[in-house]
Amino acid sequence: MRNKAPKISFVSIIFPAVLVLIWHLVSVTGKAPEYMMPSPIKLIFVMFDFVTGSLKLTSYSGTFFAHSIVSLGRVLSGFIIALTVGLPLGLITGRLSCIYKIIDPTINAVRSIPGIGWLPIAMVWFGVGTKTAIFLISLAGFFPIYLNSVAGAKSVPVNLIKAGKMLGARHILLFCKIILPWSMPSIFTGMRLALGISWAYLVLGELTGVNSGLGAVMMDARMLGHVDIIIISMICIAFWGKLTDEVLKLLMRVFFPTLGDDKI
Amino acid sequence: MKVNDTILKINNIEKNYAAGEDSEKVHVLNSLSFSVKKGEIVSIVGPSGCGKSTLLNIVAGFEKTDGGEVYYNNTRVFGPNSEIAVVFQAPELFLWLTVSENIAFGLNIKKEDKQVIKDKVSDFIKLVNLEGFEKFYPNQLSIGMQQRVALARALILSPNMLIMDEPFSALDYQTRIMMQKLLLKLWDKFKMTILFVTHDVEEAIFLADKTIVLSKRPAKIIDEIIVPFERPRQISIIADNEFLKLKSRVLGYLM
Repeated sequence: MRNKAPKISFVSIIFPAVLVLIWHLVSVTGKAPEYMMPSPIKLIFVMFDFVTGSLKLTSYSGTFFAHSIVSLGRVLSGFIIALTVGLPLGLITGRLSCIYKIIDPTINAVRSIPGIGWLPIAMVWFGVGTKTAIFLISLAGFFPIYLNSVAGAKSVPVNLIKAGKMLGARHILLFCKIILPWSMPSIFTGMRLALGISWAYLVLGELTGVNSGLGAVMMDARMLGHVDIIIISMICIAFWGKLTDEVLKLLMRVFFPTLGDDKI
Repeated sequence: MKVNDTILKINNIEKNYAAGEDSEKVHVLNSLSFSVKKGEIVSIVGPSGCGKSTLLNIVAGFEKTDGGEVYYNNTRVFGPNSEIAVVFQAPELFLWLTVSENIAFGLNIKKEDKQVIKDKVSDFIKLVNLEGFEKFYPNQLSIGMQQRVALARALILSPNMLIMDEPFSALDYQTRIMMQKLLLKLWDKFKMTILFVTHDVEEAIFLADKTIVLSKRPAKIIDEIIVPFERPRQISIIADNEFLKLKSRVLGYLM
């Protein structure tokens, strides 16, 4: 509901605070060695340095934005490819039962192959590098967008279609003016799922063969023994994942004000 | 009656339905024939599930017949026609559009001039008493108000014929009477032909020039009753002896 943004209460801060405190105690007392789990205070410094580059603590000093932009670019390219293919295909499939019968079973069968199972063949097709990452992201993002577009298009009430026809909307107009806007809440759910999963597949795509991006930083840091940078990269991905989700929600709220506050 | 007075002619139409691909066919409409004169209000009553909605869907061009023909202005009906507007049982508004945008929908599809659309929409908002609600979304309105938007949305295209499928059945008694009066007011202004399906026998007689009574499935016409009351009609006629006689005659068929 509007005006009822979830407030973070004091109680919900206690649990993570206790966890960080235990983490801190375990590191300063030497129970967990530095090379496995650096202390939270050290992480804050390394993080600061990763973003600003002012402390020169690691070889990754000041590279946060460069890597983030590369990763963000891959996620967005993959997401946009998934959207341009998944959305129209899903809407058409949802409306035309003959096309549904022809392609939907196959798409659902292909969907059951886990994303990581595509990595080897993607490397054969696209080589190691950016193309593979973008392929994996668009493939992963395609399924939730497609499935939710099908569900949305299938759920248009028969009489709403009749109302549109009676008012003169046919064919493409019927699609753009009625089927698409009616399906929007469902499509939006698909887009959010796709964007979330895009970040997961970004890491998979960047783990091998690329030397830029947050996933590559993680893998590189592992080989150089920089546990702090691995954890910081994880935090950065969480940050970008949340931020892109919020931007998507904001865009939806601006362009589709009737989507319903509960949906956004 | 002159031949060219007839706007709608239903000629021996047949309709069967199959619930599934293998299941037995259900005979819904049994050689139905009747005609409607230009500007006439015709109501159709019949037991639940007798095929009244199917009949309307066929006239509106949403469904095909399995036999017989429908003629609108001496031309066979094969699909939806911009001269035939439909109001459904539920308002079926476009929930993502405001009241004004819903009413303007058909004119926008026709790519009418922006200023013309604006003026027409504001006229129709006044006609259905929705001033002040132009920017509201359908979900923010009562069902009665939504149904008025649906009426305006259909009538703004100046249809010659209005088809209504139990449009007021979801409304409470007072709102229903208000809507009936509004409908008659609009009819008085535009003189469109109205084909009206209802469960409510009183409504069927009060509004109509002619009431068609259908039998249970497969539907055929058991009676065509000419309603003799002068227009404009006052709601008080429902207590008139003549009215009560007609009402019990129709109820007699349905019970």
